[in-house]
Amino acid sequence: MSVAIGIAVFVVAMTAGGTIWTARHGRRVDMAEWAVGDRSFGTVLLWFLSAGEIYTTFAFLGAAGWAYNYGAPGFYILANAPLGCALGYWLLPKMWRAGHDHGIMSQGDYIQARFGRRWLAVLISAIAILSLIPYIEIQLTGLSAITQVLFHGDITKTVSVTAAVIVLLLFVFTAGIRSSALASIIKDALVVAVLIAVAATIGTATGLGSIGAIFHRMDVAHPGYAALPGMVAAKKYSAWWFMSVLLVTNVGYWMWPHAFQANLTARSERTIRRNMMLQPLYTLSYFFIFVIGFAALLTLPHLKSSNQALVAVIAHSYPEWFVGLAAGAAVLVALVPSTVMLLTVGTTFARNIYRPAARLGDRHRLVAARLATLAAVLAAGLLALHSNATIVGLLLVAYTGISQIGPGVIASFVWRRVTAWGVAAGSVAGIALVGIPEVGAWWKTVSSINVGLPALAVNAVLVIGVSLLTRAPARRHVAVGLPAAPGGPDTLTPAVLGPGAAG
Amino acid sequence: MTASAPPHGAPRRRRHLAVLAVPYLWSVVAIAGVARIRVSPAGIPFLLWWMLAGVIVTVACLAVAWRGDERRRIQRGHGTVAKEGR
Repeated sequence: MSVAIGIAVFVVAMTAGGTIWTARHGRRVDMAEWAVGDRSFGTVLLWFLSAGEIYTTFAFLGAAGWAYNYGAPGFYILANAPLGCALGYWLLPKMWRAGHDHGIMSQGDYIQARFGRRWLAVLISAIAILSLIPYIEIQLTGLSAITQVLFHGDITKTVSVTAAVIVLLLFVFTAGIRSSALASIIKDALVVAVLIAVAATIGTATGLGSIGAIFHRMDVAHPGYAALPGMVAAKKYSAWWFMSVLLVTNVGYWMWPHAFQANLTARSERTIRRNMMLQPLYTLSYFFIFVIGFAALLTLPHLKSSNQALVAVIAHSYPEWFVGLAAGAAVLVALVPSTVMLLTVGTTFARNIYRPAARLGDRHRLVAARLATLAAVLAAGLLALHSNATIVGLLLVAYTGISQIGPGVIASFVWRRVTAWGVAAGSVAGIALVGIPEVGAWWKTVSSINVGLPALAVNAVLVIGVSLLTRAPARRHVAVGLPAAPGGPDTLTPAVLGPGAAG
Repeated sequence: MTASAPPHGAPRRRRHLAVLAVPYLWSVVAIAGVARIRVSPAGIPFLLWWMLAGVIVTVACLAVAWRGDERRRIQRGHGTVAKEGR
């Protein structure tokens, strides 16, 4: 495997080095550039940037892993991005407008501007960062799975996770969002090439025959795979579970602080809408990822972890140079989207949690941002070390968490009456319901529906009920989420954000 | 949340966006029935066919919404066209 390892390292190092150099050549990094790329990204860059977020470790390794483990339940993944885009087509232009008109740089800024309550921004930002940690854990788990396969399991998990943490930190700290957009162009080209090559040849390489033959063999060897609840009936992945995870994922889809921030870099509302229209097409390629997962199951039925399925079957059936390319692509798939996520962990912490009211220098906040990023990666690394969760399982944990700010945040764009107390009550109750293990365990005995959905229902009732009982925010705050007619009395004043918020 | 109706003069209504409910009906609501169908046309599980078709259906619905928005934009002749570019 040394040729494969060499090529993988080369691919990653060249991509990282090349893009960092191009992006930083002759430029100074300040907070605004580090975070939102000066709001000047056009359609092409934005499309790649968002594609970078769709082709995550979750998509690449997680989807194949779930095909390997469970079969049909994994098909829910196909509707994640399309439904996300259906929601985003309507919601994201509103978010962009709020950000654009009010000099907003982060989700926390938005909350503060919309409700005029700093503590609410702290609360929402804290929930977002907590939910991001399992998301980062996914990337580290993926990186560690790739390394384990490349080294034939000769290295311990401690070594592979530690290596993943170091590589991720190096990548994030040497570049901002701009280089991540460039890196994601390279990454996407490479991923698409590898995916097409593998999809076209997986049957021959593994000796299973055509794609049709792979499905046929699955039917014979694992008859339960084709329909819900899939190959592990005890997991209770019923149709209700399937529907509920799609809804929970959908509510949470645009609640990630990095999604909020990436959206701000768009050139116009129209650019965003067009992106939303084109983006779901990427999802069709999941078909091939599932096929690769099935081929892995038929070829290597006894893997230690399903997270390794995609890389393991490639390592087993392809020449070394190709394994190197594929592994390099898979590493980039983990690194590039993590950059965007970690940058937002940093900016969210530095702007909205760490002494948000104080007037601190740019330098001071940048240091705070980097320390927060470091802490988040280390926390995710520790979790990854001590967990055997599947990548999709981790993503569902992250989504049940982040979706709990959904009812409040979405209401802030459509309902003038929603109040800070309503949002706080709803999201705290929601997080408590999904976060307390006993509640989840009890709910599993009641229904196969994902616990996130009943939590969202309670959450929404509280958002509405408590909002009706408390005083609505001032008009100038309401106007941040629901702008009045152009030129009306509510048109924005920069004062909404208060001290320490601008620039 | 009908209480959200903005006061007069507020942002334009975009009724054509109702088409965005279709993907939810297809990929979420319909699953209650689709999950019971246990056939595999061309060897591929029906649920997989259905979800793949859902991607196309969603793109089609988004395209309808996009066309509606473009038509409005042109009708209103908002001076934003040049600024928004491409």
